[in-house]
Amino acid sequence: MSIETLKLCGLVILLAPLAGAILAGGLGPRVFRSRSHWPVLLGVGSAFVAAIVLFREVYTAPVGETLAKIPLYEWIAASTNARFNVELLIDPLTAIMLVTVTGISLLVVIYSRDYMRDHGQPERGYERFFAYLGLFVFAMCTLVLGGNFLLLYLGWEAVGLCSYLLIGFYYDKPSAAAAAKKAFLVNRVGDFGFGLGILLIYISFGTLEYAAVFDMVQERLLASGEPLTDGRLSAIALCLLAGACGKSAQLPLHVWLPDAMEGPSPVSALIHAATMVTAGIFMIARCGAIFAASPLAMTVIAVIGATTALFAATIALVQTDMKRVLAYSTISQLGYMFLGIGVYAADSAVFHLFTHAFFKALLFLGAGSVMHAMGGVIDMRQFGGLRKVIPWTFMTFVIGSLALSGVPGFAGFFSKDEIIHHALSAHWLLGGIGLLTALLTAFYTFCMVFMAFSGPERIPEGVHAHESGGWMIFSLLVLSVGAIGAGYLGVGGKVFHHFLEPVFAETFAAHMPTHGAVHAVAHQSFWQAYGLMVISGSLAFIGIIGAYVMYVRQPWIPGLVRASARGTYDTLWNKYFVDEAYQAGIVEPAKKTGELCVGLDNYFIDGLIWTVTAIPRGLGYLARTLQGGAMQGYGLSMVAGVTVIVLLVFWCQ
Amino acid sequence: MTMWLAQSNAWAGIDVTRHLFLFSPMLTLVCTMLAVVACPIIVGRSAKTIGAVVVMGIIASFILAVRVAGEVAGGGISGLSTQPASGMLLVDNLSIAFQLILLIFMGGVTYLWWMGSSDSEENAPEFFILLLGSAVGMGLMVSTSNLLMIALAIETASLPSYAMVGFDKRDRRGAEASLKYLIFGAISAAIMLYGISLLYGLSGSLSVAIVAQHCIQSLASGHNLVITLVALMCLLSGIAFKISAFPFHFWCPDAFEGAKIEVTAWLSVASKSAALILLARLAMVFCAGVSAPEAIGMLSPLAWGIGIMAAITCTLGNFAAYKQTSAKRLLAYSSIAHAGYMLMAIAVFVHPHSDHGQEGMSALLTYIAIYMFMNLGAFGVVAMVVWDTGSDNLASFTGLLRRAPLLAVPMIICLMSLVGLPPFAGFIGKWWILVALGRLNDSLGWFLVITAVVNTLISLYYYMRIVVQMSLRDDGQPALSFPLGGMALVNICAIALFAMFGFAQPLKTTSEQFTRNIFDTTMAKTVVVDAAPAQPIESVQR
Repeated sequence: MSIETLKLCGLVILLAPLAGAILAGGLGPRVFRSRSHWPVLLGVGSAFVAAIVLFREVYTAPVGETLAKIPLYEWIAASTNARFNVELLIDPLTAIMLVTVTGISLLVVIYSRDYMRDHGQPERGYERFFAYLGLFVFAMCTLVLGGNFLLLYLGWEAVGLCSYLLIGFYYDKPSAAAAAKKAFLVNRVGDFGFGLGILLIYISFGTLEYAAVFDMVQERLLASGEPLTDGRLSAIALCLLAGACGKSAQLPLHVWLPDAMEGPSPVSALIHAATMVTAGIFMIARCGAIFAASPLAMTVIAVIGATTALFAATIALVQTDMKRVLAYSTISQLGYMFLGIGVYAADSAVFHLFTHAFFKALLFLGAGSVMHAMGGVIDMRQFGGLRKVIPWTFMTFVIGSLALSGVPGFAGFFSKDEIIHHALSAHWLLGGIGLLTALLTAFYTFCMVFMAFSGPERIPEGVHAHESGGWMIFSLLVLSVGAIGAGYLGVGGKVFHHFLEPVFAETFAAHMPTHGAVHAVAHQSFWQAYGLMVISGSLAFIGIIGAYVMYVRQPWIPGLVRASARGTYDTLWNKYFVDEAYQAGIVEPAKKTGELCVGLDNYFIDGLIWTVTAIPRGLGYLARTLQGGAMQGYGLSMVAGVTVIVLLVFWCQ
Repeated sequence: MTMWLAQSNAWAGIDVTRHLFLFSPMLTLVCTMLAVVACPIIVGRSAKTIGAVVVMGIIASFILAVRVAGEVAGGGISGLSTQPASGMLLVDNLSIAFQLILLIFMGGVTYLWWMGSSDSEENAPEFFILLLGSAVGMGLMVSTSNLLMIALAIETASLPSYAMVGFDKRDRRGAEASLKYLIFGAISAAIMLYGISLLYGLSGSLSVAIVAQHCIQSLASGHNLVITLVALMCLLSGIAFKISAFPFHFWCPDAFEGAKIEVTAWLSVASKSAALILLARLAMVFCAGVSAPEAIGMLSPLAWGIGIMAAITCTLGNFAAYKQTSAKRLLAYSSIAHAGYMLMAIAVFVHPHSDHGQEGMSALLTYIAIYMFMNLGAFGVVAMVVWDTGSDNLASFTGLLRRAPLLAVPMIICLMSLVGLPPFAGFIGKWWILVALGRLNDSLGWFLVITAVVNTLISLYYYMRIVVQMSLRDDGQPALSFPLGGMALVNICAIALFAMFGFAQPLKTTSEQFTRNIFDTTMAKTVVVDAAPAQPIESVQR
């Protein structure tokens, strides 16, 4: 690998989208106007080309030389042992992520060229939209390319900001503004843990550079020379995990993602399905040295992943908003990736991340195309039988659905099957949940397909339904190819896994527990290997047939189920009441505390004044002005405050 | 006069010219004050002329301060005294660093005032006399370790501040705020003087180093324990009032809301950080005296006391900011919260197990420097909104991103930096404080780390309210008109915040340099001198 080439590629990948964003945002309103997509399209396009070149460099590098560090400049040389640079880290994991991120982004930008237009005219904020997209690509690439935790955190926060801006893009819609705020705040809860984790890393190891930190974890050594305890390692891992749960919408921080669908559909496809939400998985994979060394953290990851996968899939069963179904399926699929990492199969998780990016972007863009055709309506109760109306969208959407359902031959099948396979080896329950979720996934996905596309044609009144423009169809077709073909990189020769091997060889692979069940993986028989494929393949078909029976053959069944299981249905419809619980348990108390603190400064003082002045008033003394009273109140509060501190000091001691 | 001083016996061996040079930055400010007094008689009361005179004074003072900084880089010098412990004033890296920050900030505030004042502004001389006066007081606060001088400096800084808050005589709210501030200040000053008199009575000295040793002895031996604690608590109260730490913060929102915006900006940064540096210096000298193992345990309650005060201060400030609708009042609560973060840095080096004294100190200094830019930028934008719309209500900020993008973008940067989000300098400021706390690796350290991080989370919400108001709401108000100079000022602040993040190393190196020798020289030397028979000290004091 030539460092110079890599450096050039890295800089292009980072700076071209940024330059595009600045051009679109700065000159868009006056110069580019309806051509504002061009700077971002060119910027992201060059980033994609650079990512391909970079990938080729890494791919052709000899074994053992697939990792490169490219320092840009020295950021902090705090003390003798704690210096770190602003540097890029390039390895197979980075290369795969970069190609995925820039590739999907490019397609989404192309798609948005038509999507963000109304009857050929650009929507309000057209240039702003593209500027945010460019900014997002820059931020995401910073997150992926960064060679230390600081750049990771920087990218992490920046993608969060872009996501916030894009969810709230239609800010005059109150629901969009509320969703943006929710996403931002829920993510901050996760980032609280993430920031704390990074701080712990710095305090423990005296550096934030990946390589240095991971080396010290391997050697189990702190910067002070003391040994690294399991407790501290687990604390670091769990703090980082909190951040991953926020960004990747895992339980219990998943609540923001379904609401994030208020943003424009291309944004849902790019940020809230294909790329940003996978940042959590990427981070855990990147920090494999830390996570894999902590069995506790790994167990937590696996359990969170499995629970989320099932939990979100059950909610998706009853949703009628197309984008919401897809949002819950995203949460569920991210749960699979967590599960994969949790059972030490990080390469399978990254593989699923890769294939998922294609078919989920395809599905969201397809849903966007439906929405475009239906004049902004996305509730599936309002339309149906669209297969003739929008044939291209229908065709590509079905391909995406087959991939998501895990039908053999499509991308989702291979990667999901691998994860279930590893989960089964780790614990039968994890694998069982994986299989059950696979069944549910196929079922709800095709419920959606049948509701939207089969049966008699129903179109909301006053809507002129039409197939989307060429730019949109182009993106859908390219993604369809990916949704079919991406999976074949991981079968047979296992090209994908071999490429990733050096990244995980010393982390997840090395720490994989080698007790009976897992050990058998290496020496499995033909039936062990392919039996599961048959099972999960048939589950997919069962799900699809179930959906077919319920929504096409016997359409009275869903109503009956709804009526007979009212309680369950309501619970699922209301997403297990998690939002309500958070509102009552966290938001309201926080508001109350805020009011209390203001009250302490206003009402409490007034109350004190009243109390203090009661006696003088009674005695006929003068306490006429608020001023005099207020000052007494302040003085008294001062004394009270000092007492509180003194008492607390004694209590804490 | 110099000759006479040199001849007199008490001053033998002291290079008076050199010492005068060391204090020249503050002396220059005093001269500027006199020039401002003379100006109305000679050239008239024009605001622009007075402003120009003041700016020249500030620049001269800054240049001198830079030269003095080079002079004292190797070690602190105690003023006009051969005894490091007994000088009323001292100049060292820390004091000169603060004076440099103060001068830059005063330049910013002067510029802001200059732009906001109309041509018919009549009261420019009075305003600048007060501003310069309080600046001199703050400059002195950080350059002394003598109790009497501390009291004098705090009063010098406070009295003009009271008048500045109520500067606009016709504004009823300002007058009320000023009165509240004054009465509250008077109570605090009385308490503090009482504490100082007790300490003097106990130790027979006004030098903090000697007082500290007496205090430590009585704390360790239990002799005069209660009265010592009461005295220390009283002294702390006076300083906590200037910091506006809980429970001495009540004046802060009222005074900040009532005052003119330039004054609010001035008080929120200069006054608070001067008091923080003063407290840091006291804590430093105090801890240096504690070397005996049996006395080290005494520090723990002190560290916890400051730590708890810091934790409550920032939590309360952040929560109370939640519901504010006045931008000034919101920033007032935010400044209380930030005082809390900065107090945490002081808890680091009061800590008994702390060998990270310098780390805490340099974190504090870095934070102050960054905080200055954040607040100058934020208040600058608020000021320009107030000038145009006449109100600092959050509603005035609606749609600012469209109405004045060149104000809204720096405002967003300043607010994000106040939260502590990268890639802005506020992140660096918090980062070093948290690292210093985490390195303590004990219950107090982690308690404060968690408190600070949770508080960052809380603070995000109310800073975001302004951002949302500016970017995501729009009610079609017309574009904002603002002075170009003001726009330049806030944009410079925003760029500085960006640059201080990107080039964190120079910032870190500088603040480490400026906190370097204060630990080696001031403390170590004073302690060594104090260990010797203390006869010259008596003679100097009388």
